[in-house]
Amino acid sequence: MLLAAIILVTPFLIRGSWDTVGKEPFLLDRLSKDFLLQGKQAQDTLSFSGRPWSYPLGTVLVAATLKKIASPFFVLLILPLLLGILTAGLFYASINHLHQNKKVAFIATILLVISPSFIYTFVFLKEFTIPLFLAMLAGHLLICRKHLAAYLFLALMAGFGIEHFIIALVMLFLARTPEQKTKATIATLLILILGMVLYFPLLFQYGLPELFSFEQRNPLFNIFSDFGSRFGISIFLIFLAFFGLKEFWKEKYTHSRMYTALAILMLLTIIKASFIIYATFLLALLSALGMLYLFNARWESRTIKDLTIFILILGLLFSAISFLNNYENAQPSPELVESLQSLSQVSSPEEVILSHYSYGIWINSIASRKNVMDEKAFYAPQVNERFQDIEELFQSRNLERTQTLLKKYQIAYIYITPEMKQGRVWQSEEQGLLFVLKFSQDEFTRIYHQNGIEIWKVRT
Amino acid sequence: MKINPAFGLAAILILTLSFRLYLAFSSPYFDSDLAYFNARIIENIIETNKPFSFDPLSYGSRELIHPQLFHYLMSFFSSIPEFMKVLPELFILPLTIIAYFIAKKITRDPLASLITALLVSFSPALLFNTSNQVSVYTLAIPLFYLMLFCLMDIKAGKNLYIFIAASFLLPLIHPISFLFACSILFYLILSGSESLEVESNTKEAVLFSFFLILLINFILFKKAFLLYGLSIIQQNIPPQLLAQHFLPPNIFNSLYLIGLIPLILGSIGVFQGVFKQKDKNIILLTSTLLTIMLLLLLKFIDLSTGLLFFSISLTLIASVAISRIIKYLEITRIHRIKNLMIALGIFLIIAIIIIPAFFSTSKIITPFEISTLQSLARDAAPGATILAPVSQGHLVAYFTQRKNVADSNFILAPSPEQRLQDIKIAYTTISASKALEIFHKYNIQYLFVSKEAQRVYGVSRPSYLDDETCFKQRKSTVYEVKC
Repeated sequence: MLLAAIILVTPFLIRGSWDTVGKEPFLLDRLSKDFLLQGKQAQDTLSFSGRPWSYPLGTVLVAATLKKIASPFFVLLILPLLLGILTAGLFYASINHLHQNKKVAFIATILLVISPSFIYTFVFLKEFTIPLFLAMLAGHLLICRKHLAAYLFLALMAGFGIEHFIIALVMLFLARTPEQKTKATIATLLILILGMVLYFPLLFQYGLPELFSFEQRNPLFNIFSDFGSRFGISIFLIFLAFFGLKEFWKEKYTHSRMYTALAILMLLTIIKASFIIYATFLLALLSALGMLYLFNARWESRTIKDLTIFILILGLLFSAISFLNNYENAQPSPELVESLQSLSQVSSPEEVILSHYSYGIWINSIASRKNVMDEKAFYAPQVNERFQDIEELFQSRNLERTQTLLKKYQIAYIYITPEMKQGRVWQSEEQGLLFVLKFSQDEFTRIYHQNGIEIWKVRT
Repeated sequence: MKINPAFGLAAILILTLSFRLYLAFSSPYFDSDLAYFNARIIENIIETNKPFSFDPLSYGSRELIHPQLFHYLMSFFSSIPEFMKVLPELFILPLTIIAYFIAKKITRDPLASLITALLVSFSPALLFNTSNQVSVYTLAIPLFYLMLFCLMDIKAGKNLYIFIAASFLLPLIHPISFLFACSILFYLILSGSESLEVESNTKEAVLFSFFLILLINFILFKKAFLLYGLSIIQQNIPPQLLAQHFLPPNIFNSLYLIGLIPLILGSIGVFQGVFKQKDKNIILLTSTLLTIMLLLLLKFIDLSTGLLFFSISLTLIASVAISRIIKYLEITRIHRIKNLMIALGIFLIIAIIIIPAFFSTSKIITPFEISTLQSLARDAAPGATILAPVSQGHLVAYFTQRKNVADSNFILAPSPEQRLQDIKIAYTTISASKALEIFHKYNIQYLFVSKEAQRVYGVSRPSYLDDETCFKQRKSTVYEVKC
């Protein structure tokens, strides 16, 4: 737990500031603020310039409630830190209870705590922070045979988003024992009903969400932090887990629940990469067993044995350090925040801002202005059409077409960052919209130009 | 006549070294653009003693990720006269010895092993990629095959410790270490599928080496991995050049680079070794072949590198067939003229391999063009940028000490796709204003219209250069942009 605390505080020490970074904390902060002021709304007026409110209610509700009694600093920073420490503690206790082996529990907890997905989840409030803690708590209660309390927490998980609702059902399915069969079935039904109550209205009202076809990345990108994933795991954890699985397989089908859980989680991870955060718990346990297997196995060469284990440990540490190091230059930078605050001052609340969709959440949260598009595309209106239109807008040198598209989305300002000019959108200085902006001074005025960030006003 | 193996090997070594040194000193320049990139790294290390992590000339100036152990080693011996010409030729020499011992391990036939060592030493692909070049491969290839040799008998002598040391060094020399890691992993799979029991020592060494190579590469290429993810394998090569790098092998060109004799004998060797003898050592070499084929198919390795390692591994396996041919000769009447046959065989090898190898080296630039570039180094302003084809980017930076617009090192390069497109437009457009737009965009002061540019872009000289108010001919192949 101490290690968890140290690891989770490290990003702040690296940055030398307590300022919020990332996108989810900003989104949750804005949503919880709105929730406190107006309660749950049917529409979010800022994202996609107006879209159905389809965010995880649970986290917003908890954040809003806590904000009544505590500061946003506590909610966004301290709460995740505390939950992270408690999760690590519960994980240790659960493994120790299951395996009756302190060494396995200790190594597994260390592997969990240094995994990038754990660090990602518990540094700042994220969508996964609270449900992950609840899942761990429910898991621990199930292991301790306190089923009723466990069912209650699993039911609570359903309110935090569809992914967590699925995980709650998977956990219930895996925890079924002959003596608990009836109670587990009732709990499953209750959670299913709760899920339906929460998610079916959205389905009935808006139909199935649009599948977005843009930015389809190789799943490996999102699973492994070493390949640039925001929440992935270390590739070395997988190798160790392989040895752990080999160790488990010695007892063949005794651990069939473990195999089932792993298979389900892997399948879910392929469908949605963020499930890897849940899979990390299982992989940490397997990796701990794998590490002990490597320690205890009879090696022909002692030198090779020591070196191999040392390299694997180094690999895990490298992934953790490399991930923590990313916080040093994590966005939004003070310059970005300053420019968005300026944007807020010069524009009115009804006006729409065009930028790359990766800046959408910050435009909503820091500038409190409408964006054309952001990363939360679930149930967003005409996602693919918008994406294609924005792409055309960014790449077209035709003023007429540019104006038509600007009008279509009622865009009043264009927000451009150095990253957008350096490959995220454009490759050269006079490409597409940059050319139009430069040579159509009558139609566009640059009202902000600092630290490479530009804000252009569209003249109507 | 009984050939003394040590004498034979020494003769091959002398022949190889003489031949390679002859090629190296037949021109005062190097035969590849990349050689000049390596030369710049080495010179920078000699000057600063620090790794070359920021290149002020490439792409205008850019961050650089490149393993530099080879360059440090070269700089360490920089007091040797002509060290950039001599050292790579000395580095590659142990490959002949390693090839001999690998072949001997497989065949236990000294004569077949000597012939194999000769074939490997004069492999057209090897000469094409390494002769008269400051090439990292000259160190990486011998180390790669030394590791395979150690793995064949990991228990013997100091093989384990050599293997450990080489596993650490190879990734610090070249990312080709990935090929080694994949090959040895594939070996375990292949052995398993053939129900061959691999010794515990070997398994342990494979595991160790795989993890170490992975870790060092992750550390070295951390930034690139985070930026490109798995696509790093394709080295951020722009789409315009992807086809050129990962082209499906042209059958005739591949045959020429691999060599007809190694291809035929190597295929027989694979059949004999894997399917009949089930020899672990041949399976180890075959797994290298299969890994290369798989990586080429998935476009994870460029064609030139793939063929280079493919040809060496195949030639090593060819030793099985060579040995069988020699044994067959011994039981036939031809046995009486065995020595004549061997002499004839060696003559054939010289005729088929060595002579074509002599002509396989390429000249990427003429001495006249180099003297033109050298004059630019004296005359051009220090911060000037020179436009040249991407295949001569390093060369221009080396000889002029001025910035280029693009070169063949694409990892972390700024907008390589756009730059390549712009370079093509600059050479092929008929519009002076379009060309000037590009020249201003990259702050280009000089245009280098080399033979290579003429070949790549199919124009002898852009027509807008006739406009003498904006373009002044400085030398026959260099134009100054005045507007």
